[in-house]
Amino acid sequence: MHEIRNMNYPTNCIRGIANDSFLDEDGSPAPHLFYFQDGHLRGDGWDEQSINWEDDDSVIEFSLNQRREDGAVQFRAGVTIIPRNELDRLNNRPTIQGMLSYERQPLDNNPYHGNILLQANVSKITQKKIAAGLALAVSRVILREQD
Amino acid sequence: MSLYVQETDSEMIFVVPEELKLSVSKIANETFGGDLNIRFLSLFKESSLIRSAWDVVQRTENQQVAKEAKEVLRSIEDTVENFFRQSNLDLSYLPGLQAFNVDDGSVLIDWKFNEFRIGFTIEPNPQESGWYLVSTDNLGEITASGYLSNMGLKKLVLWLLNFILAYA
Repeated sequence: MHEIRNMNYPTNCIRGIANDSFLDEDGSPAPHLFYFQDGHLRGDGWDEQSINWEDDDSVIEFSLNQRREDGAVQFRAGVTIIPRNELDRLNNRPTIQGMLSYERQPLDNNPYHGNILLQANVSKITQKKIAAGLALAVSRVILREQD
Repeated sequence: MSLYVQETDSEMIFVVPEELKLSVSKIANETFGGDLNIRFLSLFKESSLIRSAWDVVQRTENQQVAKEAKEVLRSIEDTVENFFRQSNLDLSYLPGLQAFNVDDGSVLIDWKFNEFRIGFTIEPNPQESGWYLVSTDNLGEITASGYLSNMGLKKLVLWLLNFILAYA
């Protein structure tokens, strides 16, 4: 089991929405926004999914303004807010117990960066069930105004 | 007294919601079907239940995945329509299904309700195609899933429909 280090975690985390293909017709995030990708599998047996921790009121704006290496806006559609206690609740459900975790992983250009973690070797349908649980846990969606 | 309807093929029994009892013909212990006693407008005007999802699946590149996704959509439409015809229950409030062509080569068919989500994920490897039902804490934090190959699609859809009728 991944040890959630004794760090101060804020109430919410933020997951960026790369483009409109991750939104449903109502403008809500679809479950595949939260799919874990094989390419993000780590050597320690966890698969990671990037988030930012909402440490203060500026982080939503910071996230909306994040840029890729080529200078383009990273989250063209907007961002979603997920309460951390919903991650804990999801992880404590009997059919999921212990498969999820989270961490801080600050980067040089992003002190708020972290990851939601999923155990490796979880079946594909379970991964996608968890992704749907994350989509259901979203408390707020902030859509980016189109340029 | 509770009023029940029974779906013919699966023999599953559903309780008629209180507010809909007046609209259901009270034929005790009899089998009925077809268009008998239908009092509502057609649920499937222009197949609105699956139309959006169908349009997305039409653009799915992997033809095997597209075929399986269409089978799921047809099964949902047929099951809901048959249930509607047999029960006379007004199901027009059901939200439409949405589908997504995902980068990993799968198709996600998503049925979203306020307190729960039902999904069918069609994978390039048919053995990995599955379904899930996830609910909020208001509905007991259900997290159920399974493989489509393990259960008859019609029975699965009926089981999920029973849940939808009870909690949507």
